Amino acid sequence: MRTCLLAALAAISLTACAGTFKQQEAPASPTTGSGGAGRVPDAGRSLSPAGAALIEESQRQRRAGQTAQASATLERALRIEPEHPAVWQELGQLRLEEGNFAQAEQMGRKALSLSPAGSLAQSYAQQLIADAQRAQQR
Amino acid sequence: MLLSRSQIRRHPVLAFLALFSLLVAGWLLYLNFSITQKFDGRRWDLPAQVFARPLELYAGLDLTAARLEQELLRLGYAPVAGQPRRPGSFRRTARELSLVSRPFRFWDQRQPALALQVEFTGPAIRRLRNDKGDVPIARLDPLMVGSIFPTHGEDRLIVTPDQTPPLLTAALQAVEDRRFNEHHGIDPRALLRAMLVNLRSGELSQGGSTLTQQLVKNYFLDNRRTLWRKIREAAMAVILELHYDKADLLNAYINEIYMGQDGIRAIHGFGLASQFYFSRPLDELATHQLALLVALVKGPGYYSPTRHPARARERRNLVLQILADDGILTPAAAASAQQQALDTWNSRQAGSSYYPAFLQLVRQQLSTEYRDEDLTGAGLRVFTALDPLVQASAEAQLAAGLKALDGRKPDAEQKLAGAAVISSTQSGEVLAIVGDRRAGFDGFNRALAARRPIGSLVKPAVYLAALETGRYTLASVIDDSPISVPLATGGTWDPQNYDKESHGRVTLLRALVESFNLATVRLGLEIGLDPVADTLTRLGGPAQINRFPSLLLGAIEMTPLQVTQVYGTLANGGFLTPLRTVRSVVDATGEPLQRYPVAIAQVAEPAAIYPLNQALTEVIRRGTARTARDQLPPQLVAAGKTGTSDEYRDSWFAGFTGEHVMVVWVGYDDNQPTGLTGASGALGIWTNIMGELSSASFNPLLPGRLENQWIDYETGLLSRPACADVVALALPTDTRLQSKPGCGPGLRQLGRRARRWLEEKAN
Repeated sequence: MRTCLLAALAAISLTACAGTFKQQEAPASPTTGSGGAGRVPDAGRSLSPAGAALIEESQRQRRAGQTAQASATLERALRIEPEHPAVWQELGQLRLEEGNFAQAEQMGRKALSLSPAGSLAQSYAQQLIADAQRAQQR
Repeated sequence: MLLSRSQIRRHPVLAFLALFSLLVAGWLLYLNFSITQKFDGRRWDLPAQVFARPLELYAGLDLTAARLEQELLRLGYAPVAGQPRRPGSFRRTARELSLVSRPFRFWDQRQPALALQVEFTGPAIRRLRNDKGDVPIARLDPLMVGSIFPTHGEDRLIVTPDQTPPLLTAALQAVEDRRFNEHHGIDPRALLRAMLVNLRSGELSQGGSTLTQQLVKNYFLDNRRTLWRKIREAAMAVILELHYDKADLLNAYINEIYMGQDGIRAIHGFGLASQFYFSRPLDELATHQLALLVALVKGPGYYSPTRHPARARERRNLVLQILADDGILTPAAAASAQQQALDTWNSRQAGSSYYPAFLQLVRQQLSTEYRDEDLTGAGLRVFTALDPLVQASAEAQLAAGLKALDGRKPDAEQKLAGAAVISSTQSGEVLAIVGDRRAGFDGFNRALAARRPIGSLVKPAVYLAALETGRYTLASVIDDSPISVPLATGGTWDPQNYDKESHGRVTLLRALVESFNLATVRLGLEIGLDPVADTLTRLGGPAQINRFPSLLLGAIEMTPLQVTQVYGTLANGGFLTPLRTVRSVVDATGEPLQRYPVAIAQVAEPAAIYPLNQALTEVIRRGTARTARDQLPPQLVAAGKTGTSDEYRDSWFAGFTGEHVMVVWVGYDDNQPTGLTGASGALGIWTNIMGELSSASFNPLLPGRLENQWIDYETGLLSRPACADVVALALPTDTRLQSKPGCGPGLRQLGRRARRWLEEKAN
């Protein structure tokens, strides 16, 4: 199940990145944040093999109950893929598991801020935020 | 008891002898107590070792072969001609670099020695593999960058007997104490010989000390050559030999002996000496390197390889000769080792080997959780985020930049001071700290301790507070005409623009990009000082901020480190990530004690941060920092803000890319005016450092509910790319703007807007 999630996240290209922070000549037609991922030309940013390998390793460690190691491995991934929502999403799931609901929510917010509108990553992040908020109210 | 009063009267000599032996026995007992306590106690007095970040290798990493080679040399890896086989060796060919990494126990796992091939394509790693196939990622062992040693300055790195090369123990005995295995702490023959030499020369130059005596001498660090000290030393040596076996004593000697001085830090033991002089572990040293360390024992200052290379070399070759004469080395091996250069690590090649400015922050952050004696004595291992390559760039560029700026004012009475802090954008890890123009200076650390007015660096907080009210966009227009602010204390405050001109009605965008003071003061007074101060605190600034109108122009003191925190929050899209230096701490056995995981908190609205950051990229593209544009790599998108305090006392630049946040400060220590603006002082240094980092562009995702529009820079009216002076600005989708005459939206834009409108209705 988690590997599925990872694969799904890795498959999502962060398309809406083609914003105005490129050099001035880049945005011939400014993009919109509310547009769906599929409609904007693919900017081609997927998870690197190194990042993917580390996320898989962290998932193995998590299943083995080694949450501290899993967390350390995810932080290695974070240094390589700091702007990929998958890493923050995984960190948030881990915090949720550890009972650190406030940080789980924040990680979810971070993942959300990096997820293109209408993407699968966005709905995962929203789910994580909702789960973390519910856990905090309990 | 022993002798009665009458007996004493009858045998005064005997009585005196009895009293004397009683005193001697007491004295010996005292010596026994103090030396064994010292010996046992010392085994535990281990300064915490501090490590830099391990370099992670993977396909796609922006790293040239030259940079990797630099890192490997820095780690003391030996370049070899054939296929590298030994851990800690490598070979670089035209497009490939093969290496065998050292086994290392990281905080999270143990990594064995790895044989790796790294293929490059221009500026990046193309492929990473071993003999079985592709390797997704591998870590190099991290550089040891220092230790947290006690105030007496003794630093050491313990080696165990099995980490000690047999050649070292053999050489020490051959050179310093031939009869080590036979004597009982003192060697009467050697003493006699030394006394004869001393009598002949008329001074106490020859020691004749055994290794055990030298060890005792080191324990008490008493260099007076008195007879009494000699006797005490000899007695303690004999006592030590009674308590401990030869192997223990030799190991203690190897870890204890004084081997050199580095500022206030005293290098003790062969383990640290090996790192200090050769930047590699003791068991990887070549014969000529071991021989140099043995040569140093006699006088680390007198035979210093850096200050007296000829002398050092002569003594090293003498050591090698003794080893050949004793049959420990073959004559051929000794001769070839004698041909080698001194070969000590040249710290100028890639920055210093010791980073006191960074260590100060590490110590500061650890001191909240660890007692001083744990840090200086418990053998902890501290893994930090320090990036030696970044640190080296920052040290070199700050020094060069300040020197060039000094050169422009040749009649100045003092030299400029400076500081730089570099952190990673998303994780909040501090990568480098420079607190002085002299690299490796262990003293006043301006990056952490110099609190200076931040000038216009405060402005993003003013504009962010305005955007967060929802009443303004960056396309809103504000008055840049003169203003006189009545003060609570009486009198007025009459701020001025840098060029002493008023620019009329300007967009918020332009006022920030060109750093107009009058418009900023008017804006700040409209929204109120409280929201501005609160915003600055929220972003990571000081908790207590005085709410005077002059706050709006940066009359608030902050350290470069604090500014890094604030700009890090901007770079991070409004997520505050507390700056961290330490990743993990493990105890002497390698068990993790504490982790310092990344923690974040969303403190600002993405919809307000995004356009603010757009404006900060315009600062470099066309604003006060535009001189940086041509100096930076052409594709690199960066954002930032210049800061200049009153009367040019402080020159700041704070900025970021997608990967790095960096703050540079330049000024005089005594607060005299420098004549420098943020742009003419700190900016050049910032740009030069950033240019060397191969940093990734700042390129955040456009948040929902915002839409990029082409805006006329001067008026804030809707425009299109074909018209002059337009900028793309993210505005709330419900913003209704008038079009600039003749520059209304084109058909394509209209079509897109209509389509979006339809979609919104449909949802």
